[in-house]
Amino acid sequence: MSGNDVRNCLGVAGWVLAAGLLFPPLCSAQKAPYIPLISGGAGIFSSTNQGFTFVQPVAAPVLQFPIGPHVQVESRADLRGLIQQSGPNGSFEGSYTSTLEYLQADVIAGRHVTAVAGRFLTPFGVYNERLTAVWIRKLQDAPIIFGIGTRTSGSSDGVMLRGNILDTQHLRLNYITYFSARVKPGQFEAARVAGDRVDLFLPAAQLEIGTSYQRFLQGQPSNSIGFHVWWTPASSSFAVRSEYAHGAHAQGYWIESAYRLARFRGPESLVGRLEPVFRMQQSFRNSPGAGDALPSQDTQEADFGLDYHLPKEVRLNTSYARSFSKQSGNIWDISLTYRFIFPAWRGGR
Amino acid sequence: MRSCAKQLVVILALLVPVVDRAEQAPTAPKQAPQAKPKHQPTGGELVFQNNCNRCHNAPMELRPGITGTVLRHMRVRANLSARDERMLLEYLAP
Repeated sequence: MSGNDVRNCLGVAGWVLAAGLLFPPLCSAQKAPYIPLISGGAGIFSSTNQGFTFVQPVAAPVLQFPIGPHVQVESRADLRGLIQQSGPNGSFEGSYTSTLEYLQADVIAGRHVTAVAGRFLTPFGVYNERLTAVWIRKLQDAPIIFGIGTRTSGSSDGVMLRGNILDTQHLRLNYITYFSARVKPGQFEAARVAGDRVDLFLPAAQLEIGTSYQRFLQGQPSNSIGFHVWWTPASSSFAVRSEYAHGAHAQGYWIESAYRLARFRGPESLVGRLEPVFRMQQSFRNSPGAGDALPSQDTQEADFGLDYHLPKEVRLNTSYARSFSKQSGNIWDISLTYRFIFPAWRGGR
Repeated sequence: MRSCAKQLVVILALLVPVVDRAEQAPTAPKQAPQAKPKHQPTGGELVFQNNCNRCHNAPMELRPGITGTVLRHMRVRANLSARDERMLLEYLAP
């Protein structure tokens, strides 16, 4: 990482934090206490891919520290072990990795602007920001096109402005614009990129449509574009989420539907806790692109999942996926996750 | 005898329309079953439905002391307005 990039990032972060502390309140004063909290998820994930099995115990803590009515600092890490077989009949070996997914300062600067500085999840498409949390995603594996727009680490080090442009009874128009500096591999690894995302949400139809753009500014510059459509009808537990992305060397899409059977005797019943999930996805390789984290050849994959929502924020995820490419194979996943949330110190009501 | 028969025919002729009308008389309309009014969310529940439901369900137990902090995070993540945050706070921690 160049010295100028480091100085620029730290300088902007410092100014944003100072501005947030000195900024006069624009919105009405919040009476609720803002107690720092620790939340996140923990679980154990198992995957068998074409005969090879690996197990990952995971902890993903989230720390959140509000500072006054307009500023907060939040962070999420991924602490992950990997236990895998060395061969078809080999012994199991273990390793450990830790990743800082985000460490950011948020400053609510006005009705339509929130400034973010530090390390944040790259907001290309919606999967990275909304569905990567282990206690939220319905299928264990990320979509095969996840690498488009999220190089190199899925996180960006820089600044971001976000907010809503328009908020009426009939529509909400949100925007995000960001810049990231290049940081060498390590806990803060990130690529030099700039991009934006615009989302339109129609409350009457419960339909969200959005578009993402990113310019990759290091090495060989390239553009990535993406579109997403989400439909979550209010009258049922059914949801359809989809994304399309086009990168420098590949493109693809995924479409996922989920339906919790809460209509049958309620969400706490034996059947009501079940949630079938289905995802169809494809990737198309246009040209060689080593290191872009996408399949090297055209790939189709169908995922069939069945989640079970146990009490006390525990969830069991199971899925079977069939991958169709020159190396077709079966992928069996099973995971158990627990979501926790509690104040950082005693005394919170 | 002939006059009695004539009278009988007249009486019968008069009765036919009466009987016909009786058969065609509409029955009292059946009372339509009262439909349950569909619950329309408002306020914080509507904000939750429009924003939070898109990604996840609310935590089953959210202590009032930390609700404000949680909503601060969601305000940034979901681009909520101050009004949305206020309404959600009243809904999740009344």
